[in-house]
Amino acid sequence: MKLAVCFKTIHDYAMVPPEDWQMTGRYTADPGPVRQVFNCYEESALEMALALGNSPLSSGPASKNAVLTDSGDAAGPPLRVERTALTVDDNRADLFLRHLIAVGYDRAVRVAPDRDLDFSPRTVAATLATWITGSDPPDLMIFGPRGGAGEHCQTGPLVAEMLGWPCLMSVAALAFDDSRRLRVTCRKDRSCRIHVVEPPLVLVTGIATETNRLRIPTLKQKLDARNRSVQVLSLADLDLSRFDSGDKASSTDLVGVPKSHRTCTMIHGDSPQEKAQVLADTYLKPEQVP
Amino acid sequence: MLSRQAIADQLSDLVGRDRVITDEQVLRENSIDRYRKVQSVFGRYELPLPAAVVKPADARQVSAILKFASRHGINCVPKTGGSATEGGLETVVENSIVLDGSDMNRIIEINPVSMMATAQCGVNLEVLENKVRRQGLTIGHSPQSKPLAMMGGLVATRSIGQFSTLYGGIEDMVVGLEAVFPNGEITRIKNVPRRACGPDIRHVIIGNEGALCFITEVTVKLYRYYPENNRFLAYAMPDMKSGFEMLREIITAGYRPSIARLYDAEDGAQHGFDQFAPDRCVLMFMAEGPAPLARATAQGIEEIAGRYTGWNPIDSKRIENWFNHLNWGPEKVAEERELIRKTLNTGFTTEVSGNWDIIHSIYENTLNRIKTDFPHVDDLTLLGGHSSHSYQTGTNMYFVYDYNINACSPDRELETYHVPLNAMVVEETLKAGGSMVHHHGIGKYRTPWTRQEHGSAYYILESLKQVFDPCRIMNKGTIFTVDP
Amino acid sequence: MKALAVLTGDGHEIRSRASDMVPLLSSLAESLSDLELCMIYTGSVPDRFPEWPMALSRVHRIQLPDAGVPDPLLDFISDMAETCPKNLYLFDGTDIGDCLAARLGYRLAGSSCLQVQTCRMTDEKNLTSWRLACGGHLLARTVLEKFPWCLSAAATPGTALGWTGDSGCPVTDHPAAAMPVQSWVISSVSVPVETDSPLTGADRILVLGNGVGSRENLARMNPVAEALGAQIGATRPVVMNGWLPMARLIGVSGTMVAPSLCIVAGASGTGAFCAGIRQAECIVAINTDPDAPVFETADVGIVDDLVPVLLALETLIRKKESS
Repeated sequence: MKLAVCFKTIHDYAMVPPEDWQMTGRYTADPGPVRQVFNCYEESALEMALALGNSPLSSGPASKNAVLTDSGDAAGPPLRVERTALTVDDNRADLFLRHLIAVGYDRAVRVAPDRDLDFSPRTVAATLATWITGSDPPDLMIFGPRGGAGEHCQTGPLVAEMLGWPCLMSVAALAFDDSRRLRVTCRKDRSCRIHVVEPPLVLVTGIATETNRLRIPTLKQKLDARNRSVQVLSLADLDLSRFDSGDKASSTDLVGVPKSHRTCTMIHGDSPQEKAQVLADTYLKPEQVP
Repeated sequence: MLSRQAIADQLSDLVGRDRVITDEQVLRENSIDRYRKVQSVFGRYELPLPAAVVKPADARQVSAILKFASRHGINCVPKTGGSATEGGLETVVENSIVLDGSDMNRIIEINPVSMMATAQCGVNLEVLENKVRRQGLTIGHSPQSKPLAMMGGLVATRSIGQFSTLYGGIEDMVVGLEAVFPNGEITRIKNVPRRACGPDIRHVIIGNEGALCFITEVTVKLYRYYPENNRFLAYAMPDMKSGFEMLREIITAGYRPSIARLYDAEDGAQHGFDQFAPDRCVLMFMAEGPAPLARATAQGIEEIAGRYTGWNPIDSKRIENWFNHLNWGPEKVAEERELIRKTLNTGFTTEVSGNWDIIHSIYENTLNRIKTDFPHVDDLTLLGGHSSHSYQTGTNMYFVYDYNINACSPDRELETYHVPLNAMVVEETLKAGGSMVHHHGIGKYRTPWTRQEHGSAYYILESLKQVFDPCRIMNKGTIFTVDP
Repeated sequence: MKALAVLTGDGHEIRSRASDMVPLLSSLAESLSDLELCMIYTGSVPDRFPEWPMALSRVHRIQLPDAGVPDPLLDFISDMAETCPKNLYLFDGTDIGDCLAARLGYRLAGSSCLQVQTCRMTDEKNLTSWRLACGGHLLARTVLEKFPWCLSAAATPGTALGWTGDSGCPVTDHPAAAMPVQSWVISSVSVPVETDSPLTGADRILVLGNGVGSRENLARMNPVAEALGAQIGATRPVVMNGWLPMARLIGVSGTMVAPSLCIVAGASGTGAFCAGIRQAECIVAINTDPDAPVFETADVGIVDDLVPVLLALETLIRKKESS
């Protein structure tokens, strides 16, 4: 089984002070000097892919952690899973790609874009679809649900559409069943389905409660990964013409800051009864009371 | 000896049933602190459960409880915010009482004229700090545990904050305080700016870690708050040696930045410093105070840095954004628990101090010792450290070590990883002539070295215990070993 | 302009998802000449219809052989698009809705924008939509230039929507048999979801903090919660006092909740607790301390003792019920 997980690092938005989003003139997805991090959904996709096929009996750097992540795998010798981490990004991503090699990815590939593609989902999807249909095509493509900073949510479904592959959403867990077929758990708030499927296939992750944190490489693994190279391709290396990579269908720009702050309206009154009355009349409308 | 039930019943008679908790899960969580975070994540509680958690309403109730405990020889573990990391809150003997001061949470007075705030032991530092900030003031105390820690515990553990290089540790901030001793004596040390009336008896109480008395009330100094004048400066240094040198030069020249931190490359990488300073050490400062002073401090630092070569400048905004998210609130505690559960990776720290002439040896010797002697070195995922509190005579070193729990089950994590790593840091530091504990407190896991740490002065420490806690009911196993 | 709205959510989800589409439909109402609705279902046939701001010309009830696999639905809608093309396809903001909006836009050589909060026609040919980006910190404006436009609607809190048994238009049923077999799916089963806490998914929550004062006062809050139709949640001090079980703990170390109404009584509002209720639509805080940080997280605040306020509230609700 060959799989590839696509990711795009983002700024650690939680570290950007609120006033820095009030940009003068031009709003940008690059809000200043904060660190890059894995997008949490993609971190979960990356770990899910590492956990796949790593039964407790298997060897390799990931085996000990696999005990925690998947108890439903088939018994017997593990299936060989070849994992690629793939991103369309500038060289800031190389640190992350090497980290992924350290935790067990067999291959790290970066396609260097010629411009910022945060708001060009079809160009990104066409780039990925072109890479996928290259010389060594994977059986399984795994995506996070959001995309990078642009959060257009389109990359996974678009790649599926371009390749003519089926696409499963809200994927929460992956495993091989007893017959060594791929078992995909799709989970939403209050529903859960388990599909046994035949690749090729696109998977888009959702809330993965068990594999939402990427395992941590040891100092030794990090040292070893330093000597392994990240494969860097330029857009010119790929022939995108097979897919409609034109994002001429739409254009997106950042235009402002959403109004979302809660402001507290105080209820005044002379007695608790009065205050309760206002609360009931104004905020607990009769039709809302069950 | 009283039974668990009898202890709970008699405590209820003293303070009322609502103030005595015997719910089993609550007792479990009160048998440990964050030293056993891995075990608590997996629901393994191996220590004796306390007989009860009691939450006194005031100093009189504390007094009554301590008298009762003295009479019956019951071990009492004082507690407030519960953010301890060194086992200080562990109940290591059967049928202990956890004396939880978190209900004593009244801010008694904020005095903007004499620049003092008085709060009960259960007042959360962040709550108090936010309150004084609304008056344009600050306590100047900002440990990472600020969102969790409470005034009593902060003083009891001799805590220190991230702005210590300017404001000092908690011992420099306490004006006066109230504490209750095991015989029930309620003592108030009055608030005066300075006096020469015998030894400074505040220091019997500050840092006693609940092994001598229970702190009920604290008065701390207040300073003017000028956040608008804060100026960050940061440098990527080639190595720790040159980092310590430049740090020393700036501090000993007479500058008092509030933040002065030096990270090695490994520790920096966990904060994402490798994204802008790969394989480099990061030295950072914050100048603060009234505008002319902040400006002069920043200028002085820049001038001294200019005399050195080999460093690269770092966008100070990057450091500022990072620093503003350094605190350990409950969110981070919860996140860490999740990480431990999911990845079986955990990490601890051991903080020591040394004079300028030995600090780099402590740093190097300790890392080399671990790399050579620690049998599970291949499981380490992080080994490094930083200095974060500097003084005229030296600085601290905060060793950081993370590991995948790989060689044992989570139950045996302590003895397999944490205990030996902690021991190596302590031993190398003492060997070089430093101090084995900089600001977390001795707790229960560095007690084997308490005598060695104090040398001939241990006599003074042991005498304090004998005089103030003759029945040895106060926090058994903390500072002093269980069997003296 | 002709539009097709597609509701893929099922069960409890469909109501809020249909509400989310109201702002978008309202802002396009003037330009809409025709609106059809597809309701996708797996269980029983839906017999109630959303009361949207404009009339429907037809409702399609489409039975999906397998709710988890959107692929046959995509083929079905693109077939419909061939026989009866529309200018606008508006999907709900579920994962399936998103997937369909992205794929259909590409398949029909049109344009897509997902998780749209607001939109309007900027001229005859262009639709402009706004949505969140960059971790929700910025607004992104997308101009959709190519027909058809495929949108999905972001969740918008608080829009109440009526439902009616009368569709007011013809209803066409499309049974599952009409869908092509998905040979790549070897098997597919639905499994029950374990909810680990009574608070998960609760629509209303009454959270009690240390200010409740005693076990006895806490017991008096049970009928209040019952009158409100609310689950009772607790802050850390309350569970650490042993007054309520750990399963009731709200916050980062307990349950993170997202009710439509959250009444927080007697809690100071620590960061860890407030993070746990941040997703609530409306937060009402009651505390004796006007400086309590909880008011910074709340929409509505009452400075008073929680016990008399909540008992008075209970009386009012009971009175309303009986009248």
